[in-house]
Amino acid sequence: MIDTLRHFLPQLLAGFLVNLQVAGGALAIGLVVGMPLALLRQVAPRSGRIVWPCVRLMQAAPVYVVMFFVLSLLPRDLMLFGGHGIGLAAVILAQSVYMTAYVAENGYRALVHLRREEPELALLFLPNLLRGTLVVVMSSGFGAAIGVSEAVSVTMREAEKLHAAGDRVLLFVVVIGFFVAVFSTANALIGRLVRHMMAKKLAVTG
Amino acid sequence: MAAQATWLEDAAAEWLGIRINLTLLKHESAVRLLFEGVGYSLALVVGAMLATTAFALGLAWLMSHGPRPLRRCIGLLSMLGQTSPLPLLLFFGYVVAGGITQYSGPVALIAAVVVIGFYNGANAGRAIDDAYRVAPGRSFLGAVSAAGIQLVAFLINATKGSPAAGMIGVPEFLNVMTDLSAYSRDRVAVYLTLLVFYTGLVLAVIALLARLEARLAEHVQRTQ
Repeated sequence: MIDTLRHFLPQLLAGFLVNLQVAGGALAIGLVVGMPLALLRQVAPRSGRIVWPCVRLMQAAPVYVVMFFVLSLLPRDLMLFGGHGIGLAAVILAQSVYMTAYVAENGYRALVHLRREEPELALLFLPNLLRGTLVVVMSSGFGAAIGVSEAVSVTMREAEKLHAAGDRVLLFVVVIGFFVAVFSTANALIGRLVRHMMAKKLAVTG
Repeated sequence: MAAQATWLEDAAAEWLGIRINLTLLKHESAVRLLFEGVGYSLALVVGAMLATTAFALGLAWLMSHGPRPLRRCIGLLSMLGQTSPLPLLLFFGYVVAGGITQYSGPVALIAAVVVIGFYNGANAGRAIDDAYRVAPGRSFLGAVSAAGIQLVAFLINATKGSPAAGMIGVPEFLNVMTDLSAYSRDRVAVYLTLLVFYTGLVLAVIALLARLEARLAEHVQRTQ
């Protein structure tokens, strides 16, 4: 089992990089599309009647189903990310639907705080954005269903090579431990950032 | 069913000028599989919501009322649910269920319901426990009401996550449609139908939960 883990861990890290790639891509699209939607609602409140139902629909659409829908829209011979990008593009686009709605909603709240001259509260947009990105990293594992070589997919492939059920469970425990370590560290850092910002706000307001 | 499907195709072409392909509905076995898929999807949504509620209340109760060593263990367990990706937990559930019993559709359904319930219930349970700790004199039901927004958010999340159960072989609507339309040219229409079905399902759950949340808040206000 130790030998298995030795050659598996670099593959897991490479797979996790793909998860980060998905989150980065979805975040970029979410910011580019979501922020103008938030601004539009702020500048022209009447636009909210059209924009907000669309945002609500984006929030309600299950990412896993959106991923298959996007996959059916993309041309089969699409060449991206070194030739095997159709699945990856589908995951990024599906996640960006969620991220756009998330940015539009949180961005709007930040703009409202800015208008009320509460810059410290408006800055909470940044940790919220990090939280949203973490959610995307975690759910980017759905890509395993369409053959994207991310961390969950790599784990499944490795598990299939193992014959004993105990070894498979052990492999999953190691991978879950890896994710727990990464995400609890990230959550702790975000929590510290929020506390730091709130302390700053209290110092400013006296 | 075949006659109705043909009539619908003709009517759409004649009245709306669009050609739709309903070949799937012309075969009795395909129709049976589709209805089974819808049944599995509905069972998944209901099961995932019940399991999420049970895990949330159970974990929150144990975290706030249990003896200290048990609280620590439950705290660690809920952290595991909060920081592990759902697809990974689903595959873990698949491996464990496959190791215990003969893997089949109903077994996959139960494994998916437990995993989705645990994943969302761990998050919601933590929110209820936080609400309980913030106001020590508050009743447990009061804490549940105070954390109502988070509980509702994770119940919606459980509904949204339910189609992912197809990853571990639950024969729900998405899986059945994907299999049946594997050789179809009109896959965009198939997936658009699926998207409308699942989004409608989530919107219906959101409307239902908004009513339940309002009733719970009303009940807590009356009792306090």
